[in-house]
Amino acid sequence: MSNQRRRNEKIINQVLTFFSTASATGKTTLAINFAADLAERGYRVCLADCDMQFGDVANCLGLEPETSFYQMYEDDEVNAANLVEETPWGFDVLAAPSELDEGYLITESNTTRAINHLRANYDYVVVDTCTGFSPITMAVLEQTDILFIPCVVDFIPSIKNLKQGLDNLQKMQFDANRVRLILNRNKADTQISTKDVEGLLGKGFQYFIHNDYAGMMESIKKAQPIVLFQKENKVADEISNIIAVELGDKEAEKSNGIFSWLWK
Amino acid sequence: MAQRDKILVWVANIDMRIHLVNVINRSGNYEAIEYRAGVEGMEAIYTQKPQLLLLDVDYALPDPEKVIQQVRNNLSGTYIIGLSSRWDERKRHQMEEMFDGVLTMPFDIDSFERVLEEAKKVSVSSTCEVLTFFAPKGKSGRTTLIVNLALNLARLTGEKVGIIDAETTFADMDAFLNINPQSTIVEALRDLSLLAPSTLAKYYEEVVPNVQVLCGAKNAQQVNLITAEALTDLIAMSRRCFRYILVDLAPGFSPVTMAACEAADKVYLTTMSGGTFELKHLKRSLDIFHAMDDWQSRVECVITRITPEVRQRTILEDELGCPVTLIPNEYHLCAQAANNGRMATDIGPKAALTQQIDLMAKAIVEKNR
Ligand SMILES: Nc1ncnc2c1ncn2[C@@H]1O[C@H](COP(=O)(O)OP(=O)(O)OP(=O)(O)O)[C@@H](O)[C@H]1O
Ligand SMILES: Nc1ncnc2c1ncn2[C@@H]1O[C@H](COP(=O)(O)OP(=O)(O)OP(=O)(O)O)[C@@H](O)[C@H]1O
Ligand SMILES: [Mg+2]
Ligand SMILES: [Mg+2]
Repeated sequence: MSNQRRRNEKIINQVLTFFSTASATGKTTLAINFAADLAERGYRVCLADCDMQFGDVANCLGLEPETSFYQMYEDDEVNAANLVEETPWGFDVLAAPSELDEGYLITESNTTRAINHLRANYDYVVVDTCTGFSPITMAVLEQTDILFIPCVVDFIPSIKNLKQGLDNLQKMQFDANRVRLILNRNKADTQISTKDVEGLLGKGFQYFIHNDYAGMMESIKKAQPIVLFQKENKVADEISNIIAVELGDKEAEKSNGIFSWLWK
Repeated sequence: MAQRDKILVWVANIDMRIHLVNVINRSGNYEAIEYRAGVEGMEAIYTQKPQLLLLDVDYALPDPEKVIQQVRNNLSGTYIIGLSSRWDERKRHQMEEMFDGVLTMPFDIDSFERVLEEAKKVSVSSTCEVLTFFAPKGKSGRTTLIVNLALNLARLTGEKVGIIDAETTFADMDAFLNINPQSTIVEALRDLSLLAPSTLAKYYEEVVPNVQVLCGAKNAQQVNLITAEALTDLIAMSRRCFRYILVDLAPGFSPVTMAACEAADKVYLTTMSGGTFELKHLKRSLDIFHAMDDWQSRVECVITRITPEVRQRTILEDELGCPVTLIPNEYHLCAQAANNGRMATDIGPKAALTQQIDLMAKAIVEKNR
């Protein structure tokens, strides 16, 4: 495991999942940057790419891992913690398979088993998913401690879908206190106001991240998380702040001695 | 129907059977054949591939629904007309729902042809082209493309165009069109085994003249009803109602999306050009489609949000090894259209997007001439 700073402390064992009801809302981008930021703070972090068919984590980071979730399908005995790829940024990656047919074969139970292995070995398992409630994503949701939902407010159909997705989560009895709505690409050139969206959803956004197309493209070109190479960047700052707030919450609850949902 | 279509007369009473075959054949327009086997041996019908099956309802008892369902599953292109010597009101009504038409035995050639005419009206076209839009990842612009292309195809041909929203992630065709449909794919699939093309057509909602849409499932429980088998059957029967059917699918490979591609005459692999890994995923998907024997005549690619230059297109076609259509980037037009339940091509008749979709529609129509 790449990061040794917290080696002697008790493992936190949390699963942070990025989920969305529409595609291209920034799940992968945010998952990568969360992993990088948390690792930089000294936590033991694994980024798990559960977009099994079209995962982009390895693509975005320029990795070519030899192992992936597929070995969980192939071998019942294997431990997912042994399938990870170390990165130069202090966190590990369990990649989605590079072959499509392999991605197609991975089951919900393979996924659940992998997440459990990772949870046991890391402070934070950051999970990227494919859009919507696929069976694999449902399995991930079962394991999730905090659910981050990046949203892009582009046009009315996708807002209706978001509303429907939130209703589904409620029907599944997913604790609303464990959900964080992130308005990504905020202030992009869209035709709908945030207020209207919040009205429609009956729920506000907890966090906002600006639109920075150039910064994101550079990050992909460099194959590096933006929080690490652009310290002055607004988006990088906003991402770091989300993490600070989330960790702050937890520190506060810990000091109150309350065994809240965060420490289940 | 072409001249001298094959008609199977499946009637229990031998005298009636021979009589009806003679009535039909005397006209010289058809080739009527007696069919004698019982329900047990009905597989033999499938090898005959008749254009029309005349089915004695009493023969199919006790379970006419099951018999019809089996025939429809095996012969999606066959009209089925129900026959009885005694219809009571209730029975007749029930049977009208299931058959493409009903007749009382014995009948003369005029009433036969009248009922056949009616049945044929339901399916204006004898051939149907099913176009499915497969995307590796979402937000590829396929719903936008489908609604605009459907409108264009209907205008160009004056024929009926159907849209099936088989999205299982988040179906949003209704939101796009700003409609609140009476029935959706969920009701259609639930009732399918009891429907005839004429009654299935009523489950579609008319958007503009000649464009009808079967909207998608609204929640997770409903989505479970959309299975590969059910969707295949739905597409097969819908072929009888439309000249073109455009199918919207969830992104990625699943039994449902693969079945829809199998059932299609043309598969459009659709992706946006976002400057990241979209093309890589498109190629990986295309590799999977190479397993189809006839992929070269069946599979094409559509890349959206890209300037439609001929040179660029040629490069992509060489790289992908299949025809490519480029759809330009018109974010504001598309969003404005979807926000208002309108068609982008209506709001911006001169826009580059509209022009490209026109061209795509023309290419589809011309290939089918
Ligand atoms: N704040 C932002 N500003 C500008 N561009 C962004 C921002 N966040 C993400 N992007 C860009 O938006 C695109 C989609 O992001 P990303 O791939 O992270 O989304 P996703 O939800 O994982 O998509 P998919 O559903 O396709 O997996 C990428 O090109 C990314 O660089
Ligand atoms: N040619 C285009 N140019 C610019 N923007 C487009 C284009 N086509 C679609 N869009 C916009 O992209 C977004 C996604 O479009 P659309 O919903 O048609 O795609 P989709 O592939 O059906 O997405 P989903 O995966 O959500 O079903 C919308 O905001 C739409 O307005
Ligand atoms: Mg992603
Ligand atoms: Mg769509």
